[in-house]
Amino acid sequence: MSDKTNVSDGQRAASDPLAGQAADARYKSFNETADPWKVIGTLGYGDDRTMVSTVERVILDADPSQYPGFEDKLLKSAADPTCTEAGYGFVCRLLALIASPKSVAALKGKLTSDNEVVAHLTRMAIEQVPGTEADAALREAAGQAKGGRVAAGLAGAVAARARPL
Amino acid sequence: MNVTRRGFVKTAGGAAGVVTAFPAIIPSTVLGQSAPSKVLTVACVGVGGMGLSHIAQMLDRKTVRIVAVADVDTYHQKRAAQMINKKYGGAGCRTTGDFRDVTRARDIDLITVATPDNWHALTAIDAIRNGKDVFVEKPLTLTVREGQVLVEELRKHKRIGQTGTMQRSSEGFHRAAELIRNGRLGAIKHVDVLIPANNRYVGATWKPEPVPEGLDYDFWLGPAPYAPYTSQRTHYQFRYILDYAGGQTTNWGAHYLDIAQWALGMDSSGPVEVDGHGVYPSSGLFTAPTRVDVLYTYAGGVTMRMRTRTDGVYDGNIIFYGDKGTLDVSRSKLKSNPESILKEKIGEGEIHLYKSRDHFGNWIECVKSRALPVSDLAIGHKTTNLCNIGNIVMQLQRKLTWDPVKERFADDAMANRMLTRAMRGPWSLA
Repeated sequence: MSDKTNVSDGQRAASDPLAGQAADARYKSFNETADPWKVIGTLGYGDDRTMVSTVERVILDADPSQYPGFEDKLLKSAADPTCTEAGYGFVCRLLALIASPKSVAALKGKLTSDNEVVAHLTRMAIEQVPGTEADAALREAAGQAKGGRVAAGLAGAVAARARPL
Repeated sequence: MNVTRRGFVKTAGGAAGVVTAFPAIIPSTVLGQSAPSKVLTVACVGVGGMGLSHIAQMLDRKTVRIVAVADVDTYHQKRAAQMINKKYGGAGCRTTGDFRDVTRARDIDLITVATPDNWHALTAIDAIRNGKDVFVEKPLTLTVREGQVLVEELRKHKRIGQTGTMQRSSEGFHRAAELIRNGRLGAIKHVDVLIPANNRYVGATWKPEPVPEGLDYDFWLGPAPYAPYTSQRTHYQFRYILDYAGGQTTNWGAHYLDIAQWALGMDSSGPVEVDGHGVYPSSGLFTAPTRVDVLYTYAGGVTMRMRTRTDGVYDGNIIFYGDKGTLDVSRSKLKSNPESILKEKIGEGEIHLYKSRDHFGNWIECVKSRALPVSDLAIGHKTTNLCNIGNIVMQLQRKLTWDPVKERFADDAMANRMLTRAMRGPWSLA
């Protein structure tokens, strides 16, 4: 089975503002890119995010059984040395949709990153993961954080998750 | 006068500061909010275009006095303060860049909120927890979870909260809803809602720009993820970026879906199924859908479809279809088919809906009487849920089952994750 996810859904293409040929081109580009999951991690602020929206569409349309495979690709992208701050943001937004305790384990060290932006982006992904693993990671990070907005954000996340629905 | 937070609190927090600045105004901590002769003190948070409208709607009232404004943009602060000082005379209007200076000030009774949408809930909750009554612009919240916490805090602290869905205080919409509630259209089968066109495409890329002098950009971002400043991100156009707002789905949907909920008797409930399809920019700064199309189904089978209108009219429109006729209402028209429906009178023993013809006035009256206002925040929350789940279903492009009581989707974990968002520190819904 190929590691690559192909997009050729005509219905989805028709829904895109780049309808018709342009949409087809967008999906063609995705299909022909060796690792679109890595590409989205390399983007800078303000760059063309067409590949991000294409990957997002793939995730939104996927069967839940595909999520673990997508999660692996996103975590790989996040760990790649070429991953930028903006690209990490795209990756974390997508992880927020599908992340499991596996992402919690992989990313929790960045919850207290010295880079405040990275710390928050990481929390965007982890805070959406239901279950005790994310609770524990957030609590632990809240205890380790050196103060400031990162610590306050972590403490707030722990309390917000504990608040009954 | 622009002061630091510490300086502001120092001036405003104690009785001496109050007497110095406003010798004629006695806050409710002294007289109690229900005292008939009491002049209520107001602070306006977010004084861009909508905030100026709030100010304009309060300046001529003798029952309130605007004593402070808060905005992260000093230009907005100064412009609003000048407007207020010109009306009252003197230079008494205080200004600050930090809303907590007013939500926590002891000499302020009321808070109006007209910030970007991602700030509505946080600002209002802080005000409520500090004993203020609130007027919160629509859409009430950015997420379903924010609305849940906001309403819970409102009730817990026994505050009065009005949502800025001012169409409920309009004669035409009130008349339409009352006719429908009293069966003049027979059984309602379907509702069509049109909302104005959305954001335009502004190119595939954008460039970070220097933050303009006077704008506290980090505070402007607030709970949203960090992103560099670029001019099209802020002020009116924030509406088209999903980190801060929900596009026209929430901007106009909050008005017209609100009238539908009212007319259908669904103020404390909502649909049980939602399906939709949005057209999203695949690149560029704006992320809200350029075309919306959402189909809501209520228990009992009534359907409601909300779509983007394509005729260039910058207003919404709602048409109710019943088995005895149709009713078409917008801000500029009220028509029925047959025409005789509009001539019908509502009898004494029939349903008479909450009557308000002055949205701000209704709020202020309710602050004094402690009665619920026409657009109580709990009602605004249920309406905003329709907007927010509409945005979710358009992104997912699959039919979802919605529980309007538990406010959760059935059997769709991804959709349920989209009901809330992580907030950038120090902000949280804790």
